[in-house]
Amino acid sequence: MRSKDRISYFYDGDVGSVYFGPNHPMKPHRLCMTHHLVLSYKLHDKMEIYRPHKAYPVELAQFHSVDYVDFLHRITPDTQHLFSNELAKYNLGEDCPVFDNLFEFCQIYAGGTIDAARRLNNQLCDIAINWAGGLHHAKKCEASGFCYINDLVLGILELLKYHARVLYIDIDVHHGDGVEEAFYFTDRVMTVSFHKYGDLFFPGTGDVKEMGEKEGKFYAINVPLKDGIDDTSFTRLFKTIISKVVEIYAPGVIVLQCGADSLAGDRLGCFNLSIDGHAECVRFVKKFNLPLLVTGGGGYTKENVARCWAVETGVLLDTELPNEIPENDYIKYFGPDYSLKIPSGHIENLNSKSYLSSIKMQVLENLRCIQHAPSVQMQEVPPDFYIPEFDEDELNPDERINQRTQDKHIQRDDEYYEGDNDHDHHMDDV
Amino acid sequence: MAGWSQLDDGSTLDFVVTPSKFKAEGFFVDLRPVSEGGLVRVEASPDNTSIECVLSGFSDKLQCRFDHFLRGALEEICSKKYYRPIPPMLGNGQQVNLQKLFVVVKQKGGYDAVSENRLWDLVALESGLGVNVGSSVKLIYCKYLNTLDSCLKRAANSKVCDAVLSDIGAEFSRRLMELQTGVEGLLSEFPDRESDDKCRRLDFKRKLDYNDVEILCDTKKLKSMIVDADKDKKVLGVRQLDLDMPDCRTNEPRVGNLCNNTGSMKILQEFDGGKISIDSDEVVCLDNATKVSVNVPKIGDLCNSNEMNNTFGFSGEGKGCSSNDDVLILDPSSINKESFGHKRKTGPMWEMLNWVAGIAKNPCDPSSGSIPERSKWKSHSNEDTWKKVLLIREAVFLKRHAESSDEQLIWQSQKMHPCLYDDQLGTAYNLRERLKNDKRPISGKSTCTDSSLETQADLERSPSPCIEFYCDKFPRMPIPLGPGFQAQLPEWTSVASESDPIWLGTPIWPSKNANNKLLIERDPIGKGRQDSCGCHEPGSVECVRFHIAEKRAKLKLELGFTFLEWNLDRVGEEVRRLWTQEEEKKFKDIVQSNPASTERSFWDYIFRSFPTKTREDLVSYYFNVFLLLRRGHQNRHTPDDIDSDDDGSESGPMKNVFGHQAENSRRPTLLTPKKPQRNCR
Repeated sequence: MRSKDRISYFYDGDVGSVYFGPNHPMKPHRLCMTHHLVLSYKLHDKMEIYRPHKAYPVELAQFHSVDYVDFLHRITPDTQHLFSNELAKYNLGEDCPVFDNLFEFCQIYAGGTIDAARRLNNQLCDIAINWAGGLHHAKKCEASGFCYINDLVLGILELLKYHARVLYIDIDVHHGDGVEEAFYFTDRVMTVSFHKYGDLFFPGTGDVKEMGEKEGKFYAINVPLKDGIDDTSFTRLFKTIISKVVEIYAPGVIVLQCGADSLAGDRLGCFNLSIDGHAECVRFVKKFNLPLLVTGGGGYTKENVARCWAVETGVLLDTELPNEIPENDYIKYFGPDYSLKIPSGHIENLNSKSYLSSIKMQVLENLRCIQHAPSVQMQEVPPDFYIPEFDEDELNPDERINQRTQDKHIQRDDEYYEGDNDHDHHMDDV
Repeated sequence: MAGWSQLDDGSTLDFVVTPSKFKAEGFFVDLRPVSEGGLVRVEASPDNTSIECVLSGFSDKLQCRFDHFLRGALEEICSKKYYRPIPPMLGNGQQVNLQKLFVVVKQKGGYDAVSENRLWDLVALESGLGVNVGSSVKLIYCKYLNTLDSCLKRAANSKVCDAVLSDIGAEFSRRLMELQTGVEGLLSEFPDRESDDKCRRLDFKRKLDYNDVEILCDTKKLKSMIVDADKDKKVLGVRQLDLDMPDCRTNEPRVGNLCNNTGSMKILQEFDGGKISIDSDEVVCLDNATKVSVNVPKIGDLCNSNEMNNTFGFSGEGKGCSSNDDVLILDPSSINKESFGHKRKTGPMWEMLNWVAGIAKNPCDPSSGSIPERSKWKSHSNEDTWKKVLLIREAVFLKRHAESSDEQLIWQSQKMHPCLYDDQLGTAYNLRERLKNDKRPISGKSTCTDSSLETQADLERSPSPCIEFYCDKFPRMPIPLGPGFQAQLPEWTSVASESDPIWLGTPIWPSKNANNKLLIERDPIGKGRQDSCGCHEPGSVECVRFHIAEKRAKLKLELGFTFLEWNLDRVGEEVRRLWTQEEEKKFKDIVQSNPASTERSFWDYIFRSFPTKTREDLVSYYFNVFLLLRRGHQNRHTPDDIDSDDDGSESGPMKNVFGHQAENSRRPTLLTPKKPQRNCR
């Protein structure tokens, strides 16, 4: 009965009171409801719960530009009228309003994902959950789609310190553009996103032909779907692709973004997934028995979000939740049935079999390119093209690379691939 | 990007001697102006000697190049809408080798001399066209070879573009100047090289074209000739197609339109055997360096795909986005089998295009079959080639001719072929309509917006591959690339850094000081709600309230301090305790007096009316009490009409609160007008 996996769950009670503003569909209060549901099912007895540290600006700047982080830090609703240029530059104001405690909110959810990654790196847990995270649209220098700080990228960067290859899977109804973009040039992160594409649906990227470039070519996978996809087709497609991806890519760790806006009846989404279908994807990914970082994401019908993530917490704990929601302070939000089931959607499924199979074929085709590409580093050790540029004298003694690590670098010198040498060069050049 | 043969002395020689260097690529470029009435081809002719040399040695190849070059030049120089199929055909279906014709005329002293001496029959004979076609040949000469020739002659004589400016259409001169600027820009990048070297080097980089234009303008080796028009020949190639579109309001040849649509329908425009594959980076660099604003976007259109090596063998026109008059020339002569040998999934398209090309060349060929009456179209299988063509045409015309109500009717009344549109007609149409309605350049360079500048801007922003094959119906957003967008990857060490525990999160649960081992009865993990209870009235308000309180008390006892840590003391109707009845009533009144229809959000009033409470308090009350109560009420009284969301009844579609101006946004925004939700029964 008891799960073998050690689960770390991150929650900070302060996120529940964050308010994006009137009429804004993103409601962090859903996190509060999720947590409540988790507690009401007693799931907390099966896992360790942590309060994440508030990520420091310097941690956020591991991915984001310093000026952007700094601006997020400084801006408040009362002063924003003074910074209209910056607001425009950083894409704040439309989808991404400036609200009270904005920066603290970012610190909390980003801190959660970073902590989760660190716990995984230190093998302190097998699965880490941060429902507050998963804000996959944020870009290096700007906010986008309700996302300010891209905690996923920060978490993956953390994981990359320890793992050679990270697989990122995204089942939000929106394309995981921020993460894809951040790792577009690298083969050390494979991003796989299942999302609605077309009709000018946000964010407009995610065509099946976007597959990464340079070293990262074929390491970005997009599965564009149309309105109304149902459980059966979605999970079948998901399992086919993900199992192939895991087989070929052999990641050391998986990051799973569980945006709940792909559920039926979402305020912004247009899929027909039930919670079972959504959770089935989580279950499937868990079965690989790889270290797993699970985050939230979108989800704009908040009681459904709470249901979904509670169920998925249960899935990760190998606990099936009974349909009748136990009494709790928010029980009324789950009326009138007070059950975990959500009604199936009424959106017509526009994904024909032929469409889905053509998408599948294209994705698998691209995957085959990885299989046959001679330059792909599939050895356990990733290519060591990041030659540390440190000055021994300036180096903090605490951080000094020990002899063993240095030896490793030297040993691996002869294993460089010719193409690898200019990897850095490419990154700087473009 | 007209491909102009290089006439610089040295390089001409060079060219002749080592033609392989020039390969196919980069040699012809298509400056493609689209103007009224059809494409006019003009032709710049190298001088006799070089032509002859070339002729003798590489006639086929050269002819092909010559055709391409000519095509570009014609389109560039002449004003809109002149369409000239290349190679042209005489009335008897015989193809005219323009290059040969050109040379022959030149040998006879040029157009004037030939005309004066009535040598056209002889010219025809020597060009291998047979007898008694002198007048036709003259016509073709006029149409195809004269204009450019004369204008180039003038340009050459004046050494600058001024003459061109004054004499030729402003369009061409402008482009020439741009090209010149572009060339200078390019040249300045290689200051230490001889011009020949530069040219060659550029050639290798497939940037040759600009230079060549410049050189061409400077040399005086151009000859002029004259021609007049042969309408019959011109239209011949497309007559059959016109039959296909009886309701098009124009008789203009339209072959090209089939493929030309919105950029997303771009069928790789290809010149000369399919090898133009300018790397996108290069294009951008060109773009920045030379400001060849008109041409670069076209190159971009043509070449910015990595997969571009497998180009399609027809020469088409990238500029297709800007007007209704684009013409795509199907030129089977330039099809290079090798070039598409690698391309997967293009078979049907190929077949069809070849078919169209065949029809265009020889409309009366019985082997191409005939097309039934329009009324019978529907009954035919979509497998028929002609039907595919129609479908494609339809797809392509959808947007561009949206203004024409006639055509709108046509495409509204017809469904798209599934193989073209992935079965989903609804969304495709929908998209087009939306694109039409809001002309925002959301789509990056693959959109069919009408300014090349826009395209250029997009190109600068991202050189990512955007060439789409025919069934891509959605405009693609470019992925921005560069250090400003991608993450810097950390060094990989197989050793996890020894993190201070505070970087791993603060353990909250299981709590050291909680009543873990306590006495109270604990519910098993994952237990659901029990439907039966011992209450007097199960399911009543009181019953529910009791069970919630009971559960809450249990949880509090179990969690101990953690209960507060998670702010559980401030959730649910507990929050109500901090509010007086008057305050609650005031809150409710404000919300109800500011329904969705009003401009201002009720929050503005709320915040003002409760100066003593923080925003956090107010929001907390709203979520924990107000909405919960309303929801409880709905659950009991209107279970079929439940607002899943808090703002549901108070606010309508997103308004300009907090800057929700999705309509004015340059890019797609996540917010969509609120959909009514019925997601809870």
